[in-house]
Amino acid sequence: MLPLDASLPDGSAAPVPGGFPVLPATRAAGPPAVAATDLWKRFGDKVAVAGVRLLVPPGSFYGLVGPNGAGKTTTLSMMTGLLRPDAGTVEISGRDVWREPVAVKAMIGVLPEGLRLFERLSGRELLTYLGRLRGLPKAQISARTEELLAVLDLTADARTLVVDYSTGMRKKIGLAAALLHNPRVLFLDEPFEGVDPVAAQTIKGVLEAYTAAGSTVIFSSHVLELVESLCDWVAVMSHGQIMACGTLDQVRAGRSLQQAFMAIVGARPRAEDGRLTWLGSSAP
Amino acid sequence: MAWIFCTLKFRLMTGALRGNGSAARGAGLILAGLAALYVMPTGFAVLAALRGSALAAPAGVLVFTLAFAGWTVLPLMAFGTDETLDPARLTLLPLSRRQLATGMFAAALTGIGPIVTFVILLGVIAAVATSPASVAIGVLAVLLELTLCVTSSRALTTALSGLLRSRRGRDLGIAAAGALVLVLLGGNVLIQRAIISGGLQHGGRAIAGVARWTPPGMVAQSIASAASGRYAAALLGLGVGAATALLLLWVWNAALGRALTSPDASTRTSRRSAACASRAANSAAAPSAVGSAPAAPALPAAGSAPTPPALPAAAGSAPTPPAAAGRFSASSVDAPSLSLYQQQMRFDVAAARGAAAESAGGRPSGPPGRPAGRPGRVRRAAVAPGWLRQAGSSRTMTAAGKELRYTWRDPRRKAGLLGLAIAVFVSLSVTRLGTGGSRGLSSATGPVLLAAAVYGGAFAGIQSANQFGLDGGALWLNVAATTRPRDLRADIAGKNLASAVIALPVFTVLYAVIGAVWGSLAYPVTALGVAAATLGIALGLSNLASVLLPFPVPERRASAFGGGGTGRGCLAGLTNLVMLLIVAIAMLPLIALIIVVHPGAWMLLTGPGYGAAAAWAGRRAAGDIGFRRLPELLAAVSRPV
Repeated sequence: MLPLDASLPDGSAAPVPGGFPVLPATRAAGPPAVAATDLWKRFGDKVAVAGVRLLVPPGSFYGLVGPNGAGKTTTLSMMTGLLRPDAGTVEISGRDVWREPVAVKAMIGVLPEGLRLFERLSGRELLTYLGRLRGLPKAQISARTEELLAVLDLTADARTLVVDYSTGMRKKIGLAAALLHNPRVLFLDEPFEGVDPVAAQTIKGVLEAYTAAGSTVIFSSHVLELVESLCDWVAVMSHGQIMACGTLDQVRAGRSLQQAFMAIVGARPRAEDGRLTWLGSSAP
Repeated sequence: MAWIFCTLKFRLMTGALRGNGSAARGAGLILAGLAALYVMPTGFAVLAALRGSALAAPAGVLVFTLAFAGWTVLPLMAFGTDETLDPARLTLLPLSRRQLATGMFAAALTGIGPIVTFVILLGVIAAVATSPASVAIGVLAVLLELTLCVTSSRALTTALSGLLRSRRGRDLGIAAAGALVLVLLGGNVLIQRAIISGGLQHGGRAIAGVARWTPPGMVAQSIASAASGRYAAALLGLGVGAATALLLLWVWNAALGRALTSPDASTRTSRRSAACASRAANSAAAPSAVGSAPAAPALPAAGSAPTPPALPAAAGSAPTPPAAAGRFSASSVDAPSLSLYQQQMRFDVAAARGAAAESAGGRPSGPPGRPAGRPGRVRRAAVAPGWLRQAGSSRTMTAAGKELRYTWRDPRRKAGLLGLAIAVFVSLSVTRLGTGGSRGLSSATGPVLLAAAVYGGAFAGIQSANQFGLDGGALWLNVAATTRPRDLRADIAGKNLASAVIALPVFTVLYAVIGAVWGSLAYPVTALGVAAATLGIALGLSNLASVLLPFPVPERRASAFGGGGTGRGCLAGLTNLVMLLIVAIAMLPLIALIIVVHPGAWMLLTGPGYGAAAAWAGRRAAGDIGFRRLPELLAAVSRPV
């Protein structure tokens, strides 16, 4: 467990570029939902994650934003026990992910990137099998399965094979699979990518109900407006490091999240200046 | 837990019979079922008929050893393992290593292959056991043998897949494969010597005498020991078998655990591919390149979602832009390959643009085929020779270059290459049968060598029988840039060329070595011609099969040897058998010619010419058929399995 007593005199946390995030002592009762310490991951020559430290307070709706290749997915993969870090530790509610994988996996729900599912099961079969593999009681599995299918508008397609699902339906069934065992902490990697507004609204509703009950959501996204409207905490990643983190208002510091993001990540000069002169020249 | 895995696997198998493409998979499953219904009683009856004979015990040992060897080696060579239950999809579940191992083992036992093996092995009990105690030992022995078979195939394929993926593992993998080939060769030579010197019956006994000291042999022998009242020996045999099974299970489990928590291999195989990716990005971003190509976005490979970049310029003229391509490509193309392929596609686009610019009197673009920008800094890919890259402006060469790179980088293709290597060496060792051990050349030697050449060439060719399936969802990149049948024909020609570039040097070295050992070149040279001819015919047929019967070959984290899923394995196997038959028939005129004219160097021209003509014809037909079916082809290979 990590120390939580480093709050500022006014009890709020400060966004520390690249440094250790500081939690307000007021909200954090018990261990942090997620505590990542000095996570490193290197792929060949490229350092994907360079010393990520992150504390996620329990009950928060935490947004992880950053440009493509910032290391968001790698970080989430290491936090959820899908990818072994080169160095560093991750604790979920005080339990080490890599020392107690079984206990941790029972506590977390994950909607990973790529979303590998058993394509040749129907939606209902998929949830049922996952419930059985997690050792849930049978009655509970069927009750929760039906409820999740209904809430996520999937009941009509419950007998359709997952292979024939659309992108949005895949995300929804993936979310149902992540929620089935009522996890304490939910990790979502780009949950709204490729999802239509109706399905997105459904997913948002489920997530808001979930955090309202005191559970924690960590999700990565490029869509800053979405993060702004959903999250109360934000971390900005770039080049494998946390550039800033804190509550939404702290990170925004009076700007829009978009402006803050550009300032923190460092917007590049316009790429097309003096180049791409040929582009568009084929128009009549 | 084991039961849940069994039913899950069963559900997945029956799920394969629903939805799109279920007809083909259903047909495959029915064929496999029919074959099993024939093989099971036959095998059991043949063994049971040996009851009371002095041959019963050695036959039991041979059956156990052969089953073990078959389960171990066959998945590497041809059929792969049954990856219907992909463990990568279980990584999020709170399952302990022991639970996962038990469950995967139970799932591996659920299937037609294990059932067939089980029933045939029961035949050994019927043949050997005499007392109730020996029947009980027999049941234990059969279960243990089944465990050995399943764990051995899984342990070997999973561990080798891990080796094929990692960078340093390439060398290790090649070393391991080499060792395996040597063991196979040794075993093969031993068996042939034994049979040649003693005839089938005595030879069989002699082999059984050796084989009974291997773990599967000891397990089999324990039944006979129990039947003759030597219970201590029987228990010892079972103990050795159990220890071996535990060891294999441990290896499998460790390899599996490693595969599931290390980076997805294909995204990050090596320093070299990373360098290539950044090079692709560099050259695309360099000013002179920008003039000629849509910049391939640099996709830093942090395991983040490789978002498909904007379609290349040619996309506007695509016959049918696939609606769902984004999802498919995101799941099946890794970032470096994607950037790289964009670069490859650029050669075409660059050439086209250059021509257009020149005809319009505009500024000609940089030389196509050579990454523009800083040539001094560009390191050439080791796989594609310089002349190939020089000629890289043609679509055929582009496709060939991409295929060669992929052969080196894609674990599934490397697995296929390993299969080819094993097959070639087995075909080589078969030729010893004709030589009668070391007694020198006999009259049968040459013809046997030619027969082996037919097999070797055909086997190398039918590796391409599902050439688009390996491209998977990434095929949209080609489809988007295909505007006429000629384009597809060029793609196919490129793939064929890559196959030939790999196979022909192997054959040349092989037959040169044989010629040197024999001190006579007539037959080896002819065999080289025959191999080239069959390679061409098989490639031509493969081209047709690729557009007529495409199926997805998913990239799986745990095993590079997984096939196309339930029902596909049998169908693909049947397709391959039919193709081998057609190759043999198509070779008849050439064989007749060899008999009439006598073997000699003339085959060095005739064989490759015949093969090239066949490959050309197959490519021509496949290009025209495939162009009409492009959307269906793309849909068929990019479906998640």
